[in-house]
Amino acid sequence: MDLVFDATPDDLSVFLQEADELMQQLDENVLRLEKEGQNPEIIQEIFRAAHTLKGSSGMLGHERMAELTHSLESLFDKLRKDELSVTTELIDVFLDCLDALKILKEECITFKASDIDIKTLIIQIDGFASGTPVEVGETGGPVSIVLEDHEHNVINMAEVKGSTAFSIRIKVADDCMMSSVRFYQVIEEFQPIGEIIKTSPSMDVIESGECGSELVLILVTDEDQSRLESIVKAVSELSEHSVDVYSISSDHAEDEPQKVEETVAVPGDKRMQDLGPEARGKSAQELQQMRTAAAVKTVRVDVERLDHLMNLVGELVIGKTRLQQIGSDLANSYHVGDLTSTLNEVTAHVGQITNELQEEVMRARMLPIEQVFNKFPRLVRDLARTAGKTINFVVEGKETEIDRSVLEEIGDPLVHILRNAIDHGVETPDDRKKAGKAPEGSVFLGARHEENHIVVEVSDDGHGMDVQKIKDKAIRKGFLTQEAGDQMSDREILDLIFLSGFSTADKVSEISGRGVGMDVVRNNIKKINGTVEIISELGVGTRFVIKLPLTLVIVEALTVVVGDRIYAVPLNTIKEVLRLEDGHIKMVDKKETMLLRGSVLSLLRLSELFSHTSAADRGSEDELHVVVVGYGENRIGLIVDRLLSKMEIMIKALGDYLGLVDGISGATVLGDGRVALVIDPVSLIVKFDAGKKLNAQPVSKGKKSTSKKIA
Amino acid sequence: MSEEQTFEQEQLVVFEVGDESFGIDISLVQEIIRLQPITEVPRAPMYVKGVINLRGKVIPVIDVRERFSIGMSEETKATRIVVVDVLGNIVGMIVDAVSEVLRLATDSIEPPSNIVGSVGSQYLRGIGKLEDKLIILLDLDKLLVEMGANLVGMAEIA
Repeated sequence: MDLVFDATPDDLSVFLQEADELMQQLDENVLRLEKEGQNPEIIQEIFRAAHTLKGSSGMLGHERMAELTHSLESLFDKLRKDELSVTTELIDVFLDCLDALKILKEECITFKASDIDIKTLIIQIDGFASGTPVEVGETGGPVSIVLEDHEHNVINMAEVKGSTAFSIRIKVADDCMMSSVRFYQVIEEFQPIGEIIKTSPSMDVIESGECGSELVLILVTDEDQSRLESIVKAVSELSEHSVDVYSISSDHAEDEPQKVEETVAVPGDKRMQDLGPEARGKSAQELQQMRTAAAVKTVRVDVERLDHLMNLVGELVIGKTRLQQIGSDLANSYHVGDLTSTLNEVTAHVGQITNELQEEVMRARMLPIEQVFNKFPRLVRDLARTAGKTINFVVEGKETEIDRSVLEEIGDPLVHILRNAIDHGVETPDDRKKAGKAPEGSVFLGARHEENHIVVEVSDDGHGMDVQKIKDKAIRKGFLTQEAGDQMSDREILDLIFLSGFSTADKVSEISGRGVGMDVVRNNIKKINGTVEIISELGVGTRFVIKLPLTLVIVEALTVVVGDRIYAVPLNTIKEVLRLEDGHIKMVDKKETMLLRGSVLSLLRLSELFSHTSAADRGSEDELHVVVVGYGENRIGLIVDRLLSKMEIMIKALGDYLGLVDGISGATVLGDGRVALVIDPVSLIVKFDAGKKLNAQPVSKGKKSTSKKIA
Repeated sequence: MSEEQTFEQEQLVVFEVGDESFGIDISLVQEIIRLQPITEVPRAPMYVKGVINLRGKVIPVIDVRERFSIGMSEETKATRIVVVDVLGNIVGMIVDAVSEVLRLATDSIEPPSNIVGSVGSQYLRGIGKLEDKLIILLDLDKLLVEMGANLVGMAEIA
């Protein structure tokens, strides 16, 4: 079924953004609620979020979401008035509701109605809500009806045309077996003579048959009050009924003071905080206006536009570099005159502004990593519950800002790692006691800036990974020969779990499952130029350290010359640069290596790898340089003819047409307009290791064709 | 403006490779530039000459001669790179010369089945007949997709 919303695409995207934020807030708060119990502040925040969601989904015409949030709102209204207390069952239902809300939110993207059953949820919520003594007064019963703005509009329109809106309340007798049938009857009676704006409980609930004993409906009709009363009277088995003229203003008057109180009291709403104390005592409408005014200070910008801006800035950076080169060329070729010095001045100025611009645009693209981190407490809670483990989940550095393109990619790998940490890392409480640890396991997730990187760390205090077992398994599976395995360091062995297909096949006790999706983890992280390292100690725990670049687009690189080619090597992967001297190169197992401070460093000739000539082919090994690149503990030395310079480059993909080329992460335009290929040390190392140690995949130097899509 | 259109026409960019004239739909042609320094890409097929810098964009360049095995091209003053945009993929094609832009009546285009030439008929849209010569109409969609599929990839090493 296709859905139609009463909103422009812009409205929808604003709604989605808001809904995302609110749901995240709800997610967080529900877990806090579970931990801290009856905390009025949290309940208030949840109430407020549900209320806002109800309002905006109603405005959009997303009825199911409005109904569900309405139920939640009433539930938390009860909680906040201390008429109910927080129980585990309540939290569970609430979590189910949050899941349902997320699905309903997706409907705004797909425009397809999902088959989620909100009726049952609403019944459950209402069940909780009615589980406490409720005073049924003459005017305000437990069944209330709240109209949204668009429904008010309908009523206003009808009133202009001379119709009247009535609020009709009926209560079926206690001995009535099928209240829903009576409700139907009432509704059927009224349908021909007017327009039913809304019913409470909603039609969906009535259809489900579990709808309590009271019904309120708002009807717009040309008939007068007495006629309506006579219709209601004709329905049997009703214990109470009332027909009143529905007035929008009176409805608002009841609602308003409460709303003001909500909006002012909640500290979680930053916009409201900005408004300051003068916001107190204003009506909801005034507050809404003030809120809009405050919101004007920020502008929502399409992500594509930001991306484009970033690209343009990248071009500017290249242009700046070229200008600088022209300036110095000019100064070299001619005597420094007024013109050249002016040019240099201007170039310097433009350069400075470009740098600032680049920084600003980069900052505009940054988002706190919180956006990703926030969904994890819930995930951890659910996983821990399923696995029967108690876990203390600590999150640090949520506020760390990171480029949005990086942010998008980091979520999935983290989910995998966290899942593994909980499923396979942390032991059950019993096992932990036996091992002399506290029964509650702890899982840590943190983010921080470190030099030019963001470091994201996931650690657990579980039983760690058994290096020997991983090695045995790798050998058994044919990934590794016995000899190769014996030569590998512990860390290299731990790295094996990132190989695709390493651990999915059979389920070998403790270490199995650690590899599930681990190849995905590394691939995703590699895709955003990041690296991942595992540090694990048997019995103590495991740490995943993920290093991510601040931005993907502009990086600092060292340009090197090999033969007649220029390559760019990203600076963040370079560990050191050495001068090669005669006799440095030793042959080990027919591969070139050298000794670097006592340890063996494998060497790779870029010219050989990319099959072209280099200075080394013409004789002397003197004067050559070795660029040591690596990630984690992995190192490899690239032999190049000459070092050129350090510069900022903008990495451009080779395009779908050429696809991925191993060892190359893209191309960049140099200061003189030439194109240089950008070396991808990580894939070089992976490939090199694959050739050295793994039997499964021989190094493919020849041409191999795979199908690539162009579109 | 030009003469009134009374029948359906196609506007083509005509270029020369070897002894043959090729035509491509003008709407696919983004620009025509002089030959410029090309950076080779390792492990790419022979006919992919490498990548060039097109005002800050890095685009791949193919040699039409080698693609159709017409023999190695020699750089002359007339050598050009025809930059085409096919389904968002921007690719440069090295041709011996770009000769003209012309309009061709749709009914003077014949299906490719009955031609013999150096180019596989699957890449052809047809043959355009003019008074004095034949123009081979290339199906760039097919040609470039096909080439993309043939490219060397090493993606499977994770």
